[in-house]
Amino acid sequence: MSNSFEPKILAFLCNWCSYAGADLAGVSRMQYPPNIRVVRFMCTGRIDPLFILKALTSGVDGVIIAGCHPSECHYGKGNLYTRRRILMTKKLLECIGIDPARLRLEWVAASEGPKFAQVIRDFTEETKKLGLNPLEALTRGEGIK
Amino acid sequence: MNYIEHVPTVCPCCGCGCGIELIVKNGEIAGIEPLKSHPVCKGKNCLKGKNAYRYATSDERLKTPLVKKNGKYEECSWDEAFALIAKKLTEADKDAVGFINSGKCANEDLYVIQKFARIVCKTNNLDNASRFCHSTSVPALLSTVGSGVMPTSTVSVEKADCILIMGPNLQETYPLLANKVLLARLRGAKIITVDPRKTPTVKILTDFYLQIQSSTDAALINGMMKIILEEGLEDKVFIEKRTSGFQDLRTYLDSLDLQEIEKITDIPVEKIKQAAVTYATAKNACILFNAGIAQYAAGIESIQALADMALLTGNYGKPGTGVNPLRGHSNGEGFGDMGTVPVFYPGFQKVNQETAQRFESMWGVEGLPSEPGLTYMDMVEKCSVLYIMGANPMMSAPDINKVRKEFEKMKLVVVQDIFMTDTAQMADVILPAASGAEKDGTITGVDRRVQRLRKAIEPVGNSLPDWEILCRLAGKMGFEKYFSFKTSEEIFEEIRKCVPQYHGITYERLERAGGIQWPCPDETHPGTDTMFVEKFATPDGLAHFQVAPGSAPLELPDEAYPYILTTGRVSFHFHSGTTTRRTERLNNEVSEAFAEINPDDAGKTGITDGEQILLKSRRGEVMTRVRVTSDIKKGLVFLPWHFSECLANILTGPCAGPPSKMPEFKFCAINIAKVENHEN
Amino acid sequence: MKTNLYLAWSSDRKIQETGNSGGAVTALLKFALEHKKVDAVLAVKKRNNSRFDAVPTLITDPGLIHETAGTLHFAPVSMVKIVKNYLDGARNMKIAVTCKPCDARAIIELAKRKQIQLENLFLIGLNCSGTFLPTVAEQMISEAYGENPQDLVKEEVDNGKLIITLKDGSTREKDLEELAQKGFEMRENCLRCSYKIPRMADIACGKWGNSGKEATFIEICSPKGHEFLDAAAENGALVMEAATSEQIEERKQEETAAVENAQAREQKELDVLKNYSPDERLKFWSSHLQRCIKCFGCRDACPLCYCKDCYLEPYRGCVAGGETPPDIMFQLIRLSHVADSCVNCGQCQDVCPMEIPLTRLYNCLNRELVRIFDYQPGVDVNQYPPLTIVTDQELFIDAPDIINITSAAE
Repeated sequence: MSNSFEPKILAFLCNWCSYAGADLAGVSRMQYPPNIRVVRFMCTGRIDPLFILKALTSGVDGVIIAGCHPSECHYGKGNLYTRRRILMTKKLLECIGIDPARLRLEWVAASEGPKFAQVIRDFTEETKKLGLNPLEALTRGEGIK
Repeated sequence: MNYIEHVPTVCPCCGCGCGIELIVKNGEIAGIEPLKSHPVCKGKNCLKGKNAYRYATSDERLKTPLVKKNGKYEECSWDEAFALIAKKLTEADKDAVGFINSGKCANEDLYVIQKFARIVCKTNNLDNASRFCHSTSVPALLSTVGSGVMPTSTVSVEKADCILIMGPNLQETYPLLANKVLLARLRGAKIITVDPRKTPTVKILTDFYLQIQSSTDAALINGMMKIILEEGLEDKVFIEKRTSGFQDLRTYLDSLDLQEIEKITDIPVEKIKQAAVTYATAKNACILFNAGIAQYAAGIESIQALADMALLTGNYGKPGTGVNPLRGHSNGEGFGDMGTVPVFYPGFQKVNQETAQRFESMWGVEGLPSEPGLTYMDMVEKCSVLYIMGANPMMSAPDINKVRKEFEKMKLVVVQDIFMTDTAQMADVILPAASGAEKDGTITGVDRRVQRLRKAIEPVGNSLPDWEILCRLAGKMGFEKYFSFKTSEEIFEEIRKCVPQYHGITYERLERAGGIQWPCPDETHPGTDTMFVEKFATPDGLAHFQVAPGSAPLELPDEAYPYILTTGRVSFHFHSGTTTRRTERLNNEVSEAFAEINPDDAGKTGITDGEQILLKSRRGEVMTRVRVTSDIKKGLVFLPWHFSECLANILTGPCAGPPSKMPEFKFCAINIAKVENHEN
Repeated sequence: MKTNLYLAWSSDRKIQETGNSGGAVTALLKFALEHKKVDAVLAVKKRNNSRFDAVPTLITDPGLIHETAGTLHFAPVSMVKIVKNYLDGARNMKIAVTCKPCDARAIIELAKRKQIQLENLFLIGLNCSGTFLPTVAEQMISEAYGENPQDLVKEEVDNGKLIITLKDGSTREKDLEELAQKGFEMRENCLRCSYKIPRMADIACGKWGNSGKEATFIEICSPKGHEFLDAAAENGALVMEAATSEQIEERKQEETAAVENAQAREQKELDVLKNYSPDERLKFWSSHLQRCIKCFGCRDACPLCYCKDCYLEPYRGCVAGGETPPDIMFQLIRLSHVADSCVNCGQCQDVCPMEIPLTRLYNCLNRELVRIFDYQPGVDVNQYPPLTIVTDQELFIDAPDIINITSAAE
C-alpha cells in the first residue's frame, strides 16, 4: 500500500439532490480528489445492490452513494428504500469478506456543495487507506490460494 | 385433479449415471429434480442432469418415419419404411451391411440390434463410439489385468488417498465424479492432474499439476515408475504374489534417462518425482483416465504403463484404487457388455466358432457368423448399407469430409434417432426413436452399475423404442420367432442368460436407486464394488507387466501445419450436442463454438481475442471465434466438438491400425490464420 | 375450546399402530379427505419401502393415506417446490400439507410474494429436531450401527440419542455426539436451526410433552387450526384431551434445551467466520465459491427463488454464460436477493455438487439482517420483507447508518 495508490471510486448520485450538489461544488470551484467517476440516477432508489456488487467485483475500490435527505426525495421515499438496501449490502460485504467501509451512503442536498466536496474527500481518503480491492484478484481467476 | 408422479430414472448424459427424478404431471414432464437417495449423486446433479430430457419435448423431435424421395424427405408409414429397408438388406452382398450403434441406447436396444445383425444379416459388422474412446483401453487392460472395465466404483473413489487424474477434465465432463475427488481431497487426499490445458479441474481440484506436452504420456508414466523403483517404493509383496513379467519391465525402466523424459514431456524431473512419490506412498492410490490419453494410437502403451504403475505399487483390488477408464456415455459400459462390437458376442465372449455355436443353441438358430466383423471406420468405407442407431458419425467420426463422400456412395443409409442429426441428413430412411424418458430399459454406467431407465411419458409422435423398431423390422423379414419380445423386461431376461456378469440382476432387484454393479453371479449377490480382489481376469489369475515405451502420434506438426489440435468437451454440452444444443438453458450458456489458443501463438499470427479465425488441416478447414488464453500450452489449439456449424472432426483424421483402430482425436497437425475481411 | 394445547391420538387402532405417537397426523389427513375439507393431501411416503428414499405424494384417496404414516428422519424433502411449481401455488385446490418448520416458513414467505395461495392450504406442522441426508444415514446404519439399512423400520431422535428399530422388533441406540465423532451428523443447517416447533403453521404436532404416551402433542396456532380440530374431534376421527401443566412444562423444557443447543452451535460456527479478518474470510469464501460449476442447483432448490426471468441466466447480462466457475456475481446476486428471507431449509447445500457450505454463508448474512431489521422470515405472513417497505418514521432520521427505526411491520 504505497502512497501512490489511487483508488478508483464510483459515485452514484441522484439527479435532484446530490448531482446538483456536485454541480454546485464544481461551479464554486471547490477542490476534491479526482478519483471519482459519477453515475447519475434519477433517484438513488433505482440503485440495485447488483450495481454495487458489480462495481466492487470489477476493480472498483469504493462506491459512494449520495442521495436526498429523508423527506426531501423527489419521488417521496426512494431514498429510504436505498438506505435499507445499503444496510443489507454492507452486511453482505462483511459476510463475504470485503470491508463494508468500501460502501458508503451519504445524504447531500442540492444546496450542499461544500458538503459534497467534503464527503468525497473523506471517502477517498478512507478508501486509500483500505487499499486495492482484494476481490479484483479473485475475479481475474487467480483465486486467493 | 392434478396428479403428480415422481419417476426415478438416470441422466442420459455422461457415464457417472446420476439418479434424477422426472416429475410428471398430466402426462408431461413438469420438472426434473436430482434423486436424493442415489448413492453416486446423493441428490446432486450438474447443469446437464438438471435439464435432462427437456429435449424430449422439443418441436424438432422426429415423429414419423421419413423416406428420401427426389432429394426431399417425405413422411411414410412404418410398413413402407420397413419394406424398403428389408429389400436392401436382403439384396446386399454378404459383409456389405454394417450396424453402427450407440451408448445412448439402452442395453435392451443394443442386445436386440446385435441379435438382428447376427441372425438376420449373418454379420458381425457391429461397432460404436467406444471405438473412438476406449478401443485402446481394452487391449491395454486386457493384456495387463485381463479386463477393460473400471475396477473400482465411483463411490469408492472417495476413499483414495491419492488420485492421479490422467487427462480428464472431471470438473466439466464428469462433475459428480469430481465430487468424489473433492470429498477425497477434503479428507486429505492428494490430487495430481496431468493435462496440457489448465482446465477448471486443474485450478480447483489439483494439488500437483503437470502440464504435459501432448502425446508424451507413456514417457511420463515410465519416468514415474523409474523413480518409484529408484526410491524403493514398489510393493514387493504384491509384485511377488500377484504379478508376472516384472523383470522385463525393470530392465526397460533401468534403461531410461530421466533428463530425456524431462525434455520429451516438458515437465521438470523434480515435478515428476513429486508426483511419483506422492502416488507411490499413498495407502490407496487411484488413477482416472479417459479420452485424453486413450485417443492416440499409442494410447494402448500409455494405458499399459498406467496399469504397470498401479501394479507396481499394489494399487489394485482395493476400493479406491486401480486404473479406471471413464465411459463417456450413460450406457458406456453396456454397449460393450451387450456385444455390439465386431469381436465380441454378448458378455465379452470372443467371436469364434465355439461362441457362435453356443449362441446358436441359445437362440435356436443356425449359421451364426464366427469371424470378427468390420470396425467403425472400415464399415463407413467398405459397407454399402449402413444401419445407424443413435450414433452421429457425421460429427463424431474423424475426417468428416471423407465420411461424407463415403455416405454419398452408399446404397442405403438408415438412421434411427430422436432428432434430425447431421448423420440423419445423409440418410435414405429415417426412423423416429423414443428417447430415454419414453421407454423402460437398463443402462450400465462407468462403474459397471446397471440401473433402470424408467418410462415417464409416452413416446412422442409415432416414435418407438429402438428395440421395438428392430423387432418389427425383423418380423417383417420373417424372423419374428427370435424377436417376439413384448416388453423390455423380457429382453433383459434373455440378456441375463447370455451375459454371465448380469446373471443375478433382475428388474425387481433394480428397483432400488443406484442399481447393481456387475459381476453379479446370482440373485442373492449384492453386486461387486471392487474387482480383482483375489485374482485378475487373466487365464492365470496374475497381472502381467507390459513394457510400454509409447510412440509418436501419427501426424506430427510440420512447417505447413505447425500447431497441434486437440478436441474435447465443455461442461454445458454433451458430445455432438444433439440434445444439449436443443435445450435452451444449456445452449444459452455456450451457444457457439470457440477455439482456445495460447497468447504467444496469437501474437505470432496477429490474432486477437474474440475474432474469427480459420483452422486448417490436410483434410479440411473450419472457422470459429477464438479465445486467447494462457491456460493452454503453447503450440496447442483446443476445439470442442459439440457444434455442428464448426465441426472439429473435419480437421482430425489419422487412425491407428489394429487392434484398436483408434482415431487420434487428441493430436493432429493444423494451421491457424486470421480471417481477412470477415463479416460477422 | 379455551386452550390450544392438546394430546391427541387416532381413534382407529390400525392408524395408531402404523402412525407415530398415536397416529394423530395420519388420522387428521384421512379425516380431511374423507370429509372433503381439502381436495388433496400432500405428504411424504417411502418409495420401495425404503426409509431412505422418500417421495412427496399428492393423495386424493383417503384409502392411501396410510402410505404416508410414520415420520421419516432420513428424508429432507422440500414440500414447498411441489406446491409452488407443480400444484400451481395451490390456486385451484385446497391442500393439506405436512411440513417441517422450514417448509412452513418457506410457504409463508412465498405467500407474502403472492406465489402461493395460503388460504387454500392447511399446514400441518411437524416438530423437527433435524434430518439426516439419506445417503449419510444409510452409511451410518451400516457402519456405525453395524446393521443392514434395509432392516430399518423406524427411527427416533430422543434426548440426544438416535434410536433405531429393526424389522425383528429389536432396537439399537447411539448418542448423537458419538455418531458425530464418527462423521455422521444431521444436515448442517438443521444443527443450527432454532425453529423446532412450527408455530407458524396451522397446527404444530410432535412428541415432546406426550409423557411417553402413544399420543401426539398438538399446539393449535390459527383459527383454521381450531376449526379443523374441532371438526375432527366431533367426527370421532381424533381423540383429544387438554394437555396437563406437567406435559406443557415438559414440552417447554425439551424445546428450550433443543433451541439452546442449536443457538450455541450457530454461535460457535458462525463466530469462527466472524473472528476471521476480512481477508481471511474472503479467502475462505473464495476458496469454496470458486469450485462452483454453475449447475444452478442452489437456485432451483431454493424455495425463495422463483423468478421466471432470473438475473443469473446468461441472457440477462449480469453473469456471462459458459464460464466455469462463473463470475462471483453469480453467488453474490443470489445472496443479495435471498438475504433477508432465507429460511435455512438447507436445500441449497444438499444439492451442491461441489460441497460449498452455502447455508453457512446465507445464515451468516441472514442472522445479521434479522437482527438489524427486527424481522423473522417465514413467521408472519403479514410481516413484509424489510427491503420491500419503508415506514413514515424513517422520514425523520438524520443519518443513514441509524438502524433502530426500521420496524418492518406496517
